Amino acid sequence: MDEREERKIANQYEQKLRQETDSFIAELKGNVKEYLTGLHSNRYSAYVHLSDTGLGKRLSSHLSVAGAKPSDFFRKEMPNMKGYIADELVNDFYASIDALSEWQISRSEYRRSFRSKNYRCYTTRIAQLVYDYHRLSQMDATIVDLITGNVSGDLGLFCKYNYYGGVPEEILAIRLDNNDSTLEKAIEDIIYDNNSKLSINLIRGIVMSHNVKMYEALGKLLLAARLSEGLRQAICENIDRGTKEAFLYLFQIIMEHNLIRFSSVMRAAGTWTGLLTIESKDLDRISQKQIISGAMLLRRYMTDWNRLSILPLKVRSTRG
Amino acid sequence: MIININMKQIGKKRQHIRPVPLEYKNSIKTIKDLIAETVSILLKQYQKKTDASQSGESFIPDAIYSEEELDALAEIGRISFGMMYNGKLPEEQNAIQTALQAFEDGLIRIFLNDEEIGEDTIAIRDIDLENPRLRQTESINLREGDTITFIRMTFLAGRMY
Repeated sequence: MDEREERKIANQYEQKLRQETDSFIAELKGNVKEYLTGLHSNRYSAYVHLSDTGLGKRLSSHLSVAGAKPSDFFRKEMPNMKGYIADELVNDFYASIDALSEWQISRSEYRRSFRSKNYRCYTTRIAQLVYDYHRLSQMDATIVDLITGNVSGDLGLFCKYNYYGGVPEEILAIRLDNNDSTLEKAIEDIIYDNNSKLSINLIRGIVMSHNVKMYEALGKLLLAARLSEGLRQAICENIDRGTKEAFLYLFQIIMEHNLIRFSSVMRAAGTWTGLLTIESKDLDRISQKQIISGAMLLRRYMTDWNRLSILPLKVRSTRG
Repeated sequence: MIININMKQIGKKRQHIRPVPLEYKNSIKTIKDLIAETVSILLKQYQKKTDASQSGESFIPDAIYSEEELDALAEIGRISFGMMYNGKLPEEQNAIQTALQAFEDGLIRIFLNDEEIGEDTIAIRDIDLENPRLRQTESINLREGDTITFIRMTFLAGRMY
């Protein structure tokens, strides 16, 4: 089968999934129906309007109460959308949306490394997770099968061409926090033996978790990268994306082994601290010493979390 | 002992790689010794060339090129006379450290008579994060007249995803 035929099948499979979703949503009622219709209609522009839907407004007001968790809200809503997320994934879903405050607010390329204890900053990411868990529920394969590429047939082709980004990193992070040993072993095998299956979502999933065994594996890969600047760049530019612990662990490795000598690592340190922009010419103007001091300062604040006062972010729209 | 180092010769019609004999005075037991000695010897040669340029002995045979040599140099992009205008010499210990680091990073690979030495065979799983093994401590057995080749690699700078 040539690529064109394969892509055709992948697109048809995607259409099938979308139709299943649409039929499911058509049977729902009220706020949930409005929210999910918006979520699935036109994924990117819909986010601006989701916060204006009935459910979106109720979610925002629920989250403006101090100490409120997104999972409490969705536990109440779930009976209204039963079956939208598979039963075996529902608890992971609740854990993921609660864990959001440990991760960056924005997923975009222009992101700054901001996090917030205020869940209202994360309503866009909550919506993304609602969508991602649903998509995952529709696929008849385990998470391990999906990350190792052990899927065949039409689903296999869908995963090859249309499952952009693969299994979302939030889901991987929660599973790793639950010490899912099958997943741990699969990821370790990929890191140690079969790098070709290594993808960005795996790296992010590891740094977003609290699983030290996984940090260690990633650290070893970072040291073994040798001539692969691309791999080093991929790892280093994502270590500020997850938990504080992951950052500190991997930063320690970078400092101990003086990995800042590589330009990819120096550039990554520039992105964490916000000192570098997309134009690489900045790399020459800023010295290595400045970048290191910036990163060390970051580490100091991270180890003494309470010294930093987090500015309340006013979020006008839910666009990331 | 005399060890031959394969060096690329420019200025010939076909680029030859020829062994150039260098004299190693100290004993070479490990890869680290080999790299340190080589850097030291080449630095001294560079020093001599610099001194020669600076003291006004400007008519070094290298500086007069034939038509053929000029063409070859034009091909690599720059015609230079082999004179050292910049008198600054790299400091020896720094140069040795840089070369050793380059070796550890896989930027330089070394071949002894067509067989690679100090090859990176350690599995990622077995890397010790506290105490990574340094390949430069591996011992080598150098004999008079052996040939060494240093190959410089390039980083793969593509996107991983």
